[in-house]
Amino acid sequence: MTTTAIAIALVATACSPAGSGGSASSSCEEEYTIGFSHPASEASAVKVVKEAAVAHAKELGCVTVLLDNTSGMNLETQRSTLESWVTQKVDAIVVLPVDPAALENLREKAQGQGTKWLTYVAGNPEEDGTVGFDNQSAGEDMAAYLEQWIAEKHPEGDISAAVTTATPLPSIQPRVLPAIDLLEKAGIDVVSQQDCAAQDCGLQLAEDALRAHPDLRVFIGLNDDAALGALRAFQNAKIDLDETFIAGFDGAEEALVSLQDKTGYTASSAIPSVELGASVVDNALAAITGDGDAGKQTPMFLVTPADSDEIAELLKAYTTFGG
Amino acid sequence: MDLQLVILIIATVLLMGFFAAASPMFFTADNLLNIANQNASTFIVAAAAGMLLMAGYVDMSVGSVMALAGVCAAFVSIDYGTVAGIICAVLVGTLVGTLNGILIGQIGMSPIVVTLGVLAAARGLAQLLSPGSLYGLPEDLIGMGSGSFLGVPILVWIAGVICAIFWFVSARMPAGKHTLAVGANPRAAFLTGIPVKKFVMVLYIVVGVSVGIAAIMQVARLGSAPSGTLGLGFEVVVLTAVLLGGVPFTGGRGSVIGVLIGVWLIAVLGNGLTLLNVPTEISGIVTGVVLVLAAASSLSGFQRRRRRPRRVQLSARTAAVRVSK
Repeated sequence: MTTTAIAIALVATACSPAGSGGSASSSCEEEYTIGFSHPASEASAVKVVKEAAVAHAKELGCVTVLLDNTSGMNLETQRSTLESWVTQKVDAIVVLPVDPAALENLREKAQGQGTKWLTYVAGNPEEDGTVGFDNQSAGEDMAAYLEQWIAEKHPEGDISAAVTTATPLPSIQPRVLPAIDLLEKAGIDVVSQQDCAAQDCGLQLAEDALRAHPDLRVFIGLNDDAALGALRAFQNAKIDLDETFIAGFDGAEEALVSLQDKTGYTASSAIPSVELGASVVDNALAAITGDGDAGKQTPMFLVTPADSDEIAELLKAYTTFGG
Repeated sequence: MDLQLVILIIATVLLMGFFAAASPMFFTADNLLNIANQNASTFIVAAAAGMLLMAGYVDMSVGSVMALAGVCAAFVSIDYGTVAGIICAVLVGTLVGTLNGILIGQIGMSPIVVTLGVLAAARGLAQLLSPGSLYGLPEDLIGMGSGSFLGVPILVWIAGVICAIFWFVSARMPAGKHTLAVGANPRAAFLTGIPVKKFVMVLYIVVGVSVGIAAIMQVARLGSAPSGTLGLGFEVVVLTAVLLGGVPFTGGRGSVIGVLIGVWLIAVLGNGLTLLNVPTEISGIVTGVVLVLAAASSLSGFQRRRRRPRRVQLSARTAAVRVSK
């Protein structure tokens, strides 16, 4: 897949939901305006987060959330939107920058005039706060679950594995690195390690890997989309899905439904969209008012077919916000 | 045979030879069919887009139109079944192709600007219709994407038949010569009686139909229709294959066979690198180098193009002399 596609799909990922709701001032005495810029508006998970942020702001009653329509990781469009928000002197800007360096002077200008600058997922030492989720702990949870599965199903390590990555976005890599380390320690060959975050490349990579390595039984996608493509390849190859470990990240709707219906997906490290959307507002308010944690993270958590209640709860976000 | 085509074939064979030596799995019937299956939709669209470029026109909207047609087809197939879904995909492709054809062929707007506009609009529309991924498609549609007939994947059969039609039309029918004539000199083509505007419009419709077919094939293969990523970057793959296959950006030359070999070369490259599990960074470098080397085959075309104007000038002078006599 192209780098653009990877970036888009990953950012979609990045915008998925997560965590424990807001902290900051839910009792604001003034009216605040917050701009939320995500450069992959086309991604369904991003839409859910944006809608959740707007809904949470409405709940609070004193916050207006401005959204931008940047899509396809277009830096020019994102910058134009941010410039207009800075000119407008909004109270806070939450942004997932396409290129942090290209927005540095804008950040300085914004902060110089009193606008708080929070980054989404990507960190910046000069920021006033951050909104996001912990890819590292999500990756460790996934690796721990994989370790259990290996111990139960293939303690001899007589299988091979495939993992998808995103080399252009190093901040997202901690999702899969713990699993790669674990596989190496378990003596399981990672026979395919390629960039991919979409269904079509997941399908293609799994097909290729299965032909070269018929003992392939583990496929960990950088996100659920890649893993869902792989699931299709395993189904087409008529491999017993009880003997496979096919998992990804984000809690994409299709993956959650597969877990709910027990149609072969093994696990997803999900980000609760509603909480993540709420944290966009709450963390920004915390930065503005100085009251609360402006860097509160939304935890990702692993769901398996056994977690039917959690899955139902996660799926509710898609129903409510139309992801 | 065209020297450029010969060089492209040699490059492809050498590449296949390399991968066969490097991976025992590569040169097996199973893997070769796998490559063909994975790229079945690319073959179809590239053949159509190749003919369009031979006429001197380009379509940059194919990726997003694939998403739009795929999403519409998925919606319809879930409610009304596979056949309705297939018809819907072809219909959407045809409608967009007609729109492109009218704006470019009939009205004379810029092909790149119009199709880039449609690229953006079609993706937006697809995502408006379905913000997320559409799944739960009929089993027979999914079966089309994963099934096989006589040991050959169904998608490969479909691609084979459609590409054969494209080859026949381009190589054995007057339409093929008309395409090249329009690409070489639209005014001269018009003066010889070819209805250039209508012809270009028809070519865009053909591309649209082929994208519609490719869309349903891709949706069937994936078992879902992700509006955000379906066909993303597909236009670049198609254009690369067409140019690599020996069709110049200015049109007037090329063959469907060359385009199909261009698709195959890119497909083989991707498959071989995956089988060898070449790291992404190295993979990018290797892909770039191989494509540039393969594109060196167009050198022969360049030399011929340089000579051609002199011949044209000479024949024009000869004609002028004849008239003056």
